[in-house]
Amino acid sequence: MIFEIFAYSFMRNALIAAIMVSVTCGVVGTLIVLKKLVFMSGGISHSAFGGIGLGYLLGLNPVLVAIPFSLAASLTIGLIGRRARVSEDVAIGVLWAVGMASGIIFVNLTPGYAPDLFSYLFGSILTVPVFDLMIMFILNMVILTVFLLFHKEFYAISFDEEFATASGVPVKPLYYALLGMIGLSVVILIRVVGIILVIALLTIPTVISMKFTHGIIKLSFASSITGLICTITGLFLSYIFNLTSGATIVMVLAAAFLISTLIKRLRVPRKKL
Amino acid sequence: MTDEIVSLRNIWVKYDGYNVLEDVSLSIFENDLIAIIGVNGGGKSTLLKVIAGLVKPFKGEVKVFNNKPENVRDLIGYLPQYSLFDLNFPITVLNVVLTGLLGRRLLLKSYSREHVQAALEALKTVKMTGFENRPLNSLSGGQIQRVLIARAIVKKPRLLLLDEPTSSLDPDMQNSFYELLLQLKKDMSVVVVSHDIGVISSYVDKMACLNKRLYYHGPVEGALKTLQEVYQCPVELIAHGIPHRVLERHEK
Repeated sequence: MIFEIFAYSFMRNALIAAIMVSVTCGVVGTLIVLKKLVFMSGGISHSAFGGIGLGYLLGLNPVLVAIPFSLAASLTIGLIGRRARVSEDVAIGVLWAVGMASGIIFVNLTPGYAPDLFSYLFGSILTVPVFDLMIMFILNMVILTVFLLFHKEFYAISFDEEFATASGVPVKPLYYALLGMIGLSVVILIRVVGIILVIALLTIPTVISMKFTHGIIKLSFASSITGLICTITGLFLSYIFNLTSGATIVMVLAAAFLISTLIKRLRVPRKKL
Repeated sequence: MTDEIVSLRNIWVKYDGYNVLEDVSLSIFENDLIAIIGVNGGGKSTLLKVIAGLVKPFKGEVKVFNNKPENVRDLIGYLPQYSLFDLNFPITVLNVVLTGLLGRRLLLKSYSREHVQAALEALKTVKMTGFENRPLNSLSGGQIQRVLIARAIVKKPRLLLLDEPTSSLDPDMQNSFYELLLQLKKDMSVVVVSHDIGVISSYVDKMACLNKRLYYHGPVEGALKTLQEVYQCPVELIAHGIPHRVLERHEK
């Protein structure tokens, strides 16, 4: 039955997308969870919706328009949080709402009906076009390169930003690079699970991995593997039971989280005995 | 004549429109062991951050090793105030200490065997050998503090800035901590911020008493004599009384 599924080209594309998503969520998710930027990723992903709406309005590829949009959103949140006397979570809340609202209004202004909109909200891994796969691949390479070049520094900044600054680590540029990576990864994830479920993929695999390992490289590797297993399991389940793939993947992630918590609970007392 | 390592000239610092430091001038020389004391909110940590190049004064001149602090970060070791980070952060002791080596020099490079060796050496100095592979959250508060001190000294700085280093150490550990400072002082200048004048006064050479303004700066004896009346330092600081000198100073 498994091979039967891969006879469909859309399933093959879905599998490739799943692999790329897992790498993204493993790497960026680790950075987000370590630096405690989960809520910010939520804000960025929702403001990316404005970019998608704008794409419809301009008649361009919505993902291409969403890239600069979510990049701008992440940098804006960062700037407001750092410079102005507004706390970061307020900045996130405002951009979250404004991004969503502007997306809806752009779509309203677009002549005719926007048929794919639902897929951006809740994800549709089964209909990922080859062109989008290529964009995802390039973005993934960018994210991986930045991560591999500066993982020591990201680790140090997440642990103790003030100390890193005092040591001469270029904290500010790296912080904005990190925000940029979140923006890019959100665009990648939108295709698969949709804006609403992005946070799940960015956090749950890392949180599961943190129960069993530490160290930024090990964490991102373990998160990628966890993410991959969960996405593919979710993909198969959604195919078998004819469910929305994005939502199914998230339910699988949640189940994996529960199971990992149970395993951890069972393992710890045994070790102490 | 020893060299002037830190030179602050008429420093003014403002947070949200309120002055935190007013017209502070201070010189720190080679191999000095100096304590900065004062009440909470008196600007002690801020003064340390000015020296570390983390806070920019709006008026006045800061020179560290005759340079701007941000240009000589490789020479400055810093211990931030305790509890500013997540104690459950997934990191091993060795990796914490290794972050003390980061900086511009190490960008785009990975840790070498020498770096790991230096980190183990620093852990030995703070008597934490054998803990290198333990996750940080499995240590006690005092042990974490020692690891953070190892992180501050791992790059062998020439100026060591410690913000409330003894706050989470039990009294027994505090004494051995000050012994460690006497040992470190041979290779570097040490600045300790503390609101507890008790033990510290028997170890340091000089004191600076800070409450927005610098009220006293000089040898310990003078500080104790005149703290309360003349320099308006808070009463509770000296309420403990002048401590007995438990151990003789190491003068080698």
